[in-house]
Amino acid sequence: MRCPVCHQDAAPPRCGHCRRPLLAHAADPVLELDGVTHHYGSGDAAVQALGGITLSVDRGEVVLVVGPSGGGKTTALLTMGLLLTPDAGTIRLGGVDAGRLTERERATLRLLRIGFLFQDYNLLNSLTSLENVAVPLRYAGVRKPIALRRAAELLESLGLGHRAGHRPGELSGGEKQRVATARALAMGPDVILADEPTANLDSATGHKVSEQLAGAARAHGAAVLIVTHDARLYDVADRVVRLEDGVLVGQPAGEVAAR
Amino acid sequence: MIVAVKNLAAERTRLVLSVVGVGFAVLLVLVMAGIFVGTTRQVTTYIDHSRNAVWAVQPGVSQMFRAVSWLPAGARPELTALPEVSSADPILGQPSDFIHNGEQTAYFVVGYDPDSGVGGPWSMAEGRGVRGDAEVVLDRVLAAKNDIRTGDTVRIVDGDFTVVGLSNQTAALGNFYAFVSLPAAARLLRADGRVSYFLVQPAPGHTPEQAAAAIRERVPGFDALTSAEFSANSRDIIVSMIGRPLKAMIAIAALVGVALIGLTVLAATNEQTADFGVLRAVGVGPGQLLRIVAGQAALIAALGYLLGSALAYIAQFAIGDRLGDVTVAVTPAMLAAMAAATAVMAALGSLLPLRRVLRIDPALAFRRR
Repeated sequence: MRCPVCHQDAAPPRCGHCRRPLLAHAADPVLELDGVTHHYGSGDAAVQALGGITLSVDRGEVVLVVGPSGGGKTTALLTMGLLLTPDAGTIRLGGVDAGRLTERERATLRLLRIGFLFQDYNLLNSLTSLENVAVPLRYAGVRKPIALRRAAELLESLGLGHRAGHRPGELSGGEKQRVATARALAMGPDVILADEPTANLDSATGHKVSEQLAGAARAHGAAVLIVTHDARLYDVADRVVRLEDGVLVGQPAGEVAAR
Repeated sequence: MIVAVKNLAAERTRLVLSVVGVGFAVLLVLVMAGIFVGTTRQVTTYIDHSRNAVWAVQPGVSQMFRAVSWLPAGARPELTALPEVSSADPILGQPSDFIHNGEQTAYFVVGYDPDSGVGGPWSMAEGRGVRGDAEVVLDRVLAAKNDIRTGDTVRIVDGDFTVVGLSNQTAALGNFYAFVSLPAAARLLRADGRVSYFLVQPAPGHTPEQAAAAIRERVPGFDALTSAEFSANSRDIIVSMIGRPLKAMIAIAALVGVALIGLTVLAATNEQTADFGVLRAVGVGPGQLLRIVAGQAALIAALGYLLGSALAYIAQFAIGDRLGDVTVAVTPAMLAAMAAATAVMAALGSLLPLRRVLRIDPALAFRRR
């Protein structure tokens, strides 16, 4: 297999060139939810957040999850990101049943197979753009020169090469989200999970960022799942699914609502 | 490690204050410990100077500072008659109060034989040794404290003496020496045919231990200790007097260091909670986050240690120069022990922040700030 970071021939458990930990190649679907349910609270006070979600996402696919506030979008994102253990149902990431993993194994799976994009960017303010993008690589054990080179290449590909040495406080909202996109792509993930990535951006910037995210993810062979209220993103998606009261409603696979 | 360093450096004022605080705690511990070691070393300089000798004392007396020894001055031939003994020189000494211009200072009056010089000052800062019965050699620090110069007249007990010299190495933590002739000391201290000690040199081919044993066994009314024993016993008395308060102050300074490191790292951890949540979300393991927190504690502790130990090293000379009778000895062993203690401070100080980091929920990254 090819190492997703240095693109050299490599074999698990680690790339011999850049030291990135490697897992077995994930066949499609890279993300699969089957009957996932979750409640907050217990007894009479229990509130259903997810009511049996079944969904699969293939490599290179861009999926929007839309729906009203309180519909369960963020809870769905947390379960897909292995940050919340559902009450019932199965989540498979790269063919691995996350319910059978320990907390440490789930953290490793997040690091190696998932890229995250947050509404508030969540960049580390004390680090430069280059260092922020290199953070997951360095914590995964990737050699420093290779990690920095990879980070520089990603920033360059997103048009931010000239901002590599700047800290988040010196960047605009759009630039911050593009740095966050580079960070999400850094490890060569199978899936990118984005939580309202354009909510803090103006219309033009939001559109540009989402197009860059979708384009970069497709170029890197990653699936993208975006939780959003932003109708402007419909034209970058391959598929839109609607989540209401914890249940997926509407769009059949492969059909884009806005098109 | 880069996150640990950069997050700390991002808040420079807090970092500087923390390092200064830890450095101050390190300085305090080192100076206290240095005073303890320096004083206990210096306080027995007079005895230590008689190395390889034997101190003949009154039975029941085992140290110099908290006991009065009386021996018959005429017993000297009995001592020198022993084959294990080469010479026996009388010393007459007692603690007293030095009063000058209304200022009172505790000191030790020593009478010695000016002809042999045994028991007298061994290093002169100024002037000469005692030749007559109305002359005194004062410790230079005692003289400086009282603005006394050679040629001045001072009152020793109840007699007037001319200062003919100032001695070095004869002051330790408020304990100063004044040297007069043996007949003058006998008159001042109402000794009446008695001396305090005989300083005995072993005969060639005999050890101090053999000479001491011979005196104990064959000279009635006499006990004897080697210089090493007499010095150790005298040091123990001083340690028992100043050791506990100094150790308590050292412990308090160490606790202040722990608290400073703990509070700083806790404050830094609290400020970084959101960042830690993001790192946890993207898959950084708890162990790696713990290393960030431990790294920050280690960095503060290391910088504080360097600052504190550098200041303590300088302080030992400054204090010695200014006070004279207070010696601060900052030894390599003490610096090594302090480095280990600072590491322990850092470890203890990071316990609470570490606990907090372990409890961070990675889903925190998805909450709006």
